[in-house]
Amino acid sequence: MKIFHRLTHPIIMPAWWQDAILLIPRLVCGYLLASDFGAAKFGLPWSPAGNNLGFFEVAFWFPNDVAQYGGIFKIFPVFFAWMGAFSEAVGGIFLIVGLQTRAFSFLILCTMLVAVFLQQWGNGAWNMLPALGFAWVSLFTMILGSGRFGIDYLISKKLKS
Amino acid sequence: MKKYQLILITLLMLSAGSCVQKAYKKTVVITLTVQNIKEIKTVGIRGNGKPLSWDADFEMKPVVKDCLYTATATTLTGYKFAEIKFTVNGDFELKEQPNRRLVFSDKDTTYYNAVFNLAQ
Repeated sequence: MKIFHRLTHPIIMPAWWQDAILLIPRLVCGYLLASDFGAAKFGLPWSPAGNNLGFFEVAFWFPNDVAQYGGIFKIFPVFFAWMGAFSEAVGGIFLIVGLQTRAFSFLILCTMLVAVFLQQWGNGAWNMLPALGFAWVSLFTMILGSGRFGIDYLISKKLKS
Repeated sequence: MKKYQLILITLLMLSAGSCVQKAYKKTVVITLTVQNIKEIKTVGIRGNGKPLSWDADFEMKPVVKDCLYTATATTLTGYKFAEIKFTVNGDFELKEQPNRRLVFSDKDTTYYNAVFNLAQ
């Protein structure tokens, strides 16, 4: 319970408008991950119909891509592909609503570091930019939590009282 | 706390039930008619999904030179369609127009006939 409380309890900025400004990158990244990057390879109700993805299914090509990273990714390609796609698609939703922000930020950060160093490394800075952008935002939200504007804040208040 | 455990268990159960999208081996036989272009050197297909690519031609062989070309490709896919365009001598067709949609048949083999630079 203590760990759950510590994970959930966000760091609150001195003024509400500071939390509001920090909300912007969280919302934008969450929306892009859930609606585009994640939904293209992880089955959600709004995934493109042509991609033919079942609910919570990872795209057929993704485990093959992940296996090419080698090492542990080659041993458990389905697990890492599913976790990566889940982190993007579902993590994006949780980032938007600010629920378990730290846990999902951690998952997103891990996914993006893999994307930067094992997928896009060597393809030039421009190709690394989307994953790097998500990584920076998730790094901040992993430390700060949801701030005032998130379900974590409401849960945290309720747990205190 | 129990609520969260319930949500987590539900998510894990959902994920256990469906994991990786099923992919099927599909063979596509493509026939392309080319009109009013002479001295054709190369005809190709570009598109998404292996063995196609947007950067290099998937070569089509002539049946009748400067007129009729064909290619057969086999792919493992879970998608319902692939987006493609044809090229002649490296030049794309349907410039500034949407890509063609090659919809896979429910059967193993899909037959696709097209006319170069003529949207269907």
